[in-house]
Amino acid sequence: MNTGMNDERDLLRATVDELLAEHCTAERVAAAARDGWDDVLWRALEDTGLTLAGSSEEAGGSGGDLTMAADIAVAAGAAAAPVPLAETLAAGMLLARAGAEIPPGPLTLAVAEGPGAALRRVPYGRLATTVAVGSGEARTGFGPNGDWLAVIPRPAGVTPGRNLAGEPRDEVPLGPGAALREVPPGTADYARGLLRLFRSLLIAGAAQRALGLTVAYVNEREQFGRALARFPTVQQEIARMAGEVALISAATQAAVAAEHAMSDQIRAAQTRADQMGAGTLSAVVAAKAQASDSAGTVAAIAHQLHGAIGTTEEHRLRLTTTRLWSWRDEDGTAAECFAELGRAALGAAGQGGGLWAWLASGQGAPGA
Amino acid sequence: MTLLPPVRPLPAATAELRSAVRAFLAQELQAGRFVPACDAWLSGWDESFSRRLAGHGWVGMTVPPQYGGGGRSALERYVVIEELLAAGAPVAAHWVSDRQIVPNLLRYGSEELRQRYLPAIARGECYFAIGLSEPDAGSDLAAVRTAGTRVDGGWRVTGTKIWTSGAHRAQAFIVLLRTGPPDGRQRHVGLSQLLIELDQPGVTIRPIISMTGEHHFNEVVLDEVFVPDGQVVGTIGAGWAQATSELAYERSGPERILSTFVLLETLAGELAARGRGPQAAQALGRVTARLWACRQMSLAVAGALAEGQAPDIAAALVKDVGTRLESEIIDVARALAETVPDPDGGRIAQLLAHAVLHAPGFTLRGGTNEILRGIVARALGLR
Repeated sequence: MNTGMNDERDLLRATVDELLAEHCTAERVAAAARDGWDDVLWRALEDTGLTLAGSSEEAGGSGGDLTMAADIAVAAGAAAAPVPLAETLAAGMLLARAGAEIPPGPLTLAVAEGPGAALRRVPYGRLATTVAVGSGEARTGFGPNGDWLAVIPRPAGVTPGRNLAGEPRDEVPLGPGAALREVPPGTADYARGLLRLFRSLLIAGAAQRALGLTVAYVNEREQFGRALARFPTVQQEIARMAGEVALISAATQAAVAAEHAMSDQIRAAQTRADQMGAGTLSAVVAAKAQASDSAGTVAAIAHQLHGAIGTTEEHRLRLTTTRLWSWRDEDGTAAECFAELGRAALGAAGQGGGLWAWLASGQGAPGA
Repeated sequence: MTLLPPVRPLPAATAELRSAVRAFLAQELQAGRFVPACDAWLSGWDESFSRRLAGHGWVGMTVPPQYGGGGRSALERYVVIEELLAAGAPVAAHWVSDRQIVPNLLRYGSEELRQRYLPAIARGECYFAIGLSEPDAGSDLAAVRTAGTRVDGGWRVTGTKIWTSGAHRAQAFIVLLRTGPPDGRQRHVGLSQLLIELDQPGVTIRPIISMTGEHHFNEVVLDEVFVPDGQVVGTIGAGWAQATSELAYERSGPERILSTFVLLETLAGELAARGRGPQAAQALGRVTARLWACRQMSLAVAGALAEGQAPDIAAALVKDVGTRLESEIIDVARALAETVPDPDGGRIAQLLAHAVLHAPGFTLRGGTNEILRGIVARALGLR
């Protein structure tokens, strides 16, 4: 497209990468696992307005589109940024879409199984304002199809938990006192999609980082009198890893394009359900499936090539691989996404267009 | 490091083209003019199909109108060939002409060569083979020993080419050969490309029968074959750069992903009809996700190629992940089909039998995956 836009995008990426690199040293990321997060980093990010990119300014966001928010999430994943950056980006977009005002401070997005149920394993639930979204049930009073939303500022009674990387994964109560408001139908589905998409983007960043760390290590480490990089078996494994990293990258980029195109259509007063015809592959589900599947291979090869040192607490690699192992199972495990995709595939195969028409549909809107 | 060019959607205008190809394929199937097969871009030789396809302007699509083509874009061609491959259509006859020879002649061919071959290719009537591999030059392509000696008005060529798909039916092939000495250890120096007609004295074509019993491959022996100067492609001595310049197209196209797609489509159809449980859905979902992601990679490379870039690492990666997926699809089918591969069995059993026996070739042809992974590793900075 026009180079002006690409320049702007490159500039944003460079700015984000630089800021994250400054703060996300191995020491700081490791320390955050003990403290829950890194508030200095969070304030630095907030000052730049990066935490609400992709959300409209009318709603209180920083403007920009999903592509911009996606680039920031990939950078956050690569840096192992110990703050709810992707979570805030996603929650901000959800609130803007739902026509709600975006509150200040860190946000996190959670989909509730039903009103009154606790929200489980909410990322940074103890530190952030939780944006809870659910699908309609009779007791909400919003009708059988009414979706609802609740904004729960710094909730009391949070039960702390964590994932393999030490990131907070907390149980947040959604008591009867929570103020639920009705939101347009499709909002809960949109939230599920956002969660999967942003988790996939984090994985994409972390996978790239794992590859970068491994390439650097095999060039530097010598055995039998030469760098590991000189061994053909090592080269083969690096290339196999690169293939998986590229698959994640392709899948997440395509999902961003598809979601971006869909949100344009929804803004034209269409509901998601209308847009998501039965014959259309969900790019977001496919992307999470692929990201989750490839994450394990990437982490395994990274560790194999790093040798024993990579498994230690003091080595930087584990900050990335523990995230890959956590994130692949969050917001939809590979198995869940495979099953969902497989059911859709079987549905498509039983119809006129068949499997191919369905597969070729999951590409986002045709562009210029 | 950037592994992959940006993923971008296909141009909106291709949707109509896609529908038209699907309608054509549906008609062909309804009329019983072809049976969908795995790996039909190697084994589905059907000249009348090629001509019918050309009648719609879908062979040699990128050939400019002055040479009898439609002057369509590379991305439009991508849409057409992926529809044909997904349907398992018999495209082998014109495959090499369409994929390699058209871009090669458009880029390097003389006006005379273009006039002579491109209109016939676009009519679906002129089929080519590739003369790269030799008995002692496989992965190490620069080791070719076929050589041309300068004679009055042309070259006298002697040597042996092998794995030459379709040479027994093709009209001509483009041969990589040595026309001058290497420059010390610079073995790429002194190589050239000649376009050689196959039906002429001094050319002997011997069949190499595959383990399926099929005859695709040949050994082509050239014994003092005279090749006039007019048949030189590009520049004498620039053969290596010319032959390798189109490799990104060859490595990253949909044929590196879809060789077993007919098996997957048929399996999914059967499972849907049978009403299979969650385990089947999960296994199917896994290869589906991977196939979708591979396609996005392939499209990203196609988009970059269309803009004149040379995304060689990404192209090599597409071939590596894509061709391994082609075999994984066979494994999923074996696990779920409730039948064993049987050349004389039912529909799925036959597709399986064909696919299993073709599978070893997937990761060999077009540069072995091991060689490609070496290229990727070096590009990533491994030394």
